[in-house]
Amino acid sequence: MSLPSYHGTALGTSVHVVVTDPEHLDRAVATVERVVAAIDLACSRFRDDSELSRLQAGDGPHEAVVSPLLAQALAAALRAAELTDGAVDPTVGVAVRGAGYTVDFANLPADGGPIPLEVVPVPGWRRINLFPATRRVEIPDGVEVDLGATAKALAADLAAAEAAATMSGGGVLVSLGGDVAVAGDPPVEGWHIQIAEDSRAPITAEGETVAIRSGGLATSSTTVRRWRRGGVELHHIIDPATGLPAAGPWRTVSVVAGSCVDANTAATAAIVRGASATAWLEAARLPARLVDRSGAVIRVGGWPAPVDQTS
Amino acid sequence: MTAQQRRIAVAERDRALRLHRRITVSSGVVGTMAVAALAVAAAHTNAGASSTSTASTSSSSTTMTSTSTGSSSSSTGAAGSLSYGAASSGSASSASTVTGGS
Repeated sequence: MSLPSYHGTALGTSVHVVVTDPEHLDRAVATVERVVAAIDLACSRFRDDSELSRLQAGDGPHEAVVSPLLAQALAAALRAAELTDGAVDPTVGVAVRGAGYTVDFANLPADGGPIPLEVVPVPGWRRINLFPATRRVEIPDGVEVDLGATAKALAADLAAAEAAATMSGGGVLVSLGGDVAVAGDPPVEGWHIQIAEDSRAPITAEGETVAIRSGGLATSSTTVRRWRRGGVELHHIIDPATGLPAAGPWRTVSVVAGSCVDANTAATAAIVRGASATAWLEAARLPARLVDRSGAVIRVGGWPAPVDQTS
Repeated sequence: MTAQQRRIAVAERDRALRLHRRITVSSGVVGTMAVAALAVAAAHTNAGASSTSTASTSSSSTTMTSTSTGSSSSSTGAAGSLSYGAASSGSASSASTVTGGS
């Protein structure tokens, strides 16, 4: 059965809102658009007028009392770093720009001349001071924060929760570029979500599909947000240990967790961790599906085995 | 307290926090005693750091204690693990959306 849904774009990616009750769709979409716009204004590094850009404008160090939303986004990023032992680190700003990701991806040339690529570990998340009670943040000189690894998933979580709160019963699914959060009462058989390398792929009759009832499902991949400089293929997932695009065996990782932020955090950490990711995901008891560079798929942590969709 | 006074109080509190950290790092015994004293002070004041109506001195104590219990900055006070989720086999014919890279 097809559920009422909306497709749009925001944050440089796709927005998909699905509800169980058609009467709730318009209000849910309005809520999602408002939350996404607020996150973009707070956290974008591609907008000069974003709060994060203004905070980091000019030479450091930078100190300020930030908005509740930016404080929440920074806290989410620091928590992700802490829980992944720094595999997902918000201080990759300089590194990701150094890898050539200098403008919004829609405006990033797919190909270009060579750029210097040096192994330089990122400054590290512990150098950021955030005082949650006062929302004061201190960023030392030479440290540039990039919330790209967590802000979109946080937006999905916040949007789904706020949309569900506006409903009198029923549930909502919010997908921002394939980072999926659900809230409220799910459909009877759960939310069915198809797994792909690219979130823009169409739903197919044979595609591997899982069902969730709460929390989130997110996918990190090195296959979509890619560019080439001097013949070198680059992507947006930075390994904090090298300051360069992660070079591990996984090209795409999908994870189910109690929230979209946690799912996305784990998925990105898995790509950075490389070969040790499967044991880490198992230990964390996070259902995950990993695709290696050859296309081989490994499922861990209770990820359901695929079923024959044609039978 | 005026807005200007509140800003000054917040700035003083944060400066005191930085000093407190240096003390804690450079002198374990003194630092531990300071944390304990601040914890007692905070227990008595029972004031959240967001309570800007308190005097700047007690606000400083509260924020420091909050930090000593792990709620600040690089130690976010978060739970020790990512939250769990569960998935079951789904049906492509019922799929509502696609997850993937973007």
